[in-house]
Amino acid sequence: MFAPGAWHHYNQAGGRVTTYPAPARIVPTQTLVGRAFVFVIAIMTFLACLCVGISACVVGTVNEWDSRISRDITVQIRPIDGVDIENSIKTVLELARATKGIKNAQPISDTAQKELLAPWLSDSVDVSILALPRLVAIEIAPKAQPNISALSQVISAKVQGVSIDDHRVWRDRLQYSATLILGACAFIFMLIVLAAALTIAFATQGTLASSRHVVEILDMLGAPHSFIAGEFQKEYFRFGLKGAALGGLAATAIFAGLDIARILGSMPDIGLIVPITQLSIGIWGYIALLGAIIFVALLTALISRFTTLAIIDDSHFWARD
Amino acid sequence: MIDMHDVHLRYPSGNVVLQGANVSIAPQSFQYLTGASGAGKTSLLKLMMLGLKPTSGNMEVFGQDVAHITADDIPQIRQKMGVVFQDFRLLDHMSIFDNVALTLRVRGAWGDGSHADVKDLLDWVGLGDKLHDFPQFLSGGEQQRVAIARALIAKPAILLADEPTGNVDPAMGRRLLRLFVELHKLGTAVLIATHDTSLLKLYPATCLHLEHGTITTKQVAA
Repeated sequence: MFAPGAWHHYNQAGGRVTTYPAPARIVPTQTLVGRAFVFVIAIMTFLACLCVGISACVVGTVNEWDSRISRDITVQIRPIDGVDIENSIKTVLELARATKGIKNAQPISDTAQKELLAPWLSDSVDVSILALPRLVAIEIAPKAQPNISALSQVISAKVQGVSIDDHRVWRDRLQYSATLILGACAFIFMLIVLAAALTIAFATQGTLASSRHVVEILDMLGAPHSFIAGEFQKEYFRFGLKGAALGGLAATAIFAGLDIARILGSMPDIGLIVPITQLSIGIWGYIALLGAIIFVALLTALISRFTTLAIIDDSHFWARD
Repeated sequence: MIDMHDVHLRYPSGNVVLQGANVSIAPQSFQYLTGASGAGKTSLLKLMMLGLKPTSGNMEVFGQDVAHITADDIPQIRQKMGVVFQDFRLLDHMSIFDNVALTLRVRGAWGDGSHADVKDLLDWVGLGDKLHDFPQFLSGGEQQRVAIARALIAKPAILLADEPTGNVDPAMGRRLLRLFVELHKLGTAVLIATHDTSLLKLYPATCLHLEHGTITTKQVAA
């Protein structure tokens, strides 16, 4: 049986060129679990990448919302008999505009207020007959950190029936919800990693059992256990990388699809609390996905190495007695 | 190089192989190990290559007391040895070139000139035209020669050969013996376990005879 690849050939100038085949694989290919293993790793990497991507989406969305609402303060002025509400609005505006770090302060118009209430009141209701509080929107300048509590105290002291909302409750709930989602994603990610680690360990055990004669010969030839483990690690790293790349690319395609749809504006609003078209994992999300792929490939290599070392160290007759 | 004093070897099954054996393999020595089939020649070679642990007695391999050798020390010691197994122990999924090259690879000795070294050695044992063949397609004698080439390629300090001429024709047997003799002249200690007494006459040397668990030493004359 002659393997392809000659030792010598002649180049166009008639010179003799010696070529050598690459060293043969030491671990027999037929003892490796191969395609099924790659498929399992691909599925696990896909699920792990979904966790990573969802986490990135949550972090991105929460940060965006938080940065948006943390720069807004709403002052609510309730109508009080005998108090000129327009005068109260004017005072609030003056105090706000005089505060350092406040970019803008504007009363919310009746029309805008009506639009805000539209989801709760039908169009037929005349809002002007209701004793609705008036609202003043205060916008904080970017990167500025005005003393909001001092401003609140001054406004409360000078204007009757006023309440100031810096959206802290909403922001706290948002952060809490985000933490819960991230925690769930991290937990699921760890379960996937654990399942992947066990799968790799079992696959390596199987390969070792069917390559026992190879391990014995290597041992007799004086191969250090680290060399033997390295050979198994090499094979499993190839499989791990292949599976991780397949699964990771599939997950990346989903998130990239969302991004493309967002850019093109071609996704319909399907009624989620966050329009799906607003979800984006961002550049750091994609970097995290790449990290997850590399992590799974390295995990495969390391688990197979340590499994091999543990088994051959334990089973070595010298260590038994 | 290898010294055994009052070494006993008993298998867990109760089968006694050695009873107070005393053996000394000096550097650059050439010795035969003879004995009837089943006398324990292979077990003695396994003991020397640290494939078995003595039940009792004192044994030193390359100056290291076997009683204090750990599993981590074994590869380093085995890398000084070349072993030819009776059952060849070749890897069927590798070409004969790769089987021979394997010794250099596991010992971290694979270098630029290694391809040529492996090819030259396989040429010498008469397998230069079968570099890419796989062991299962070779005859027993050819597999034996591959196993010998694999043991010799790393220029071991000691060669332990278990019936190295058992599967080859007399002409090849003489040729292999000449190879071992040449190797010995280059400074390698050689111990050949054989039941073929005709070899002893071709190249007389010290003979360790194993019988009933004890070893007697005699000098074979030409």
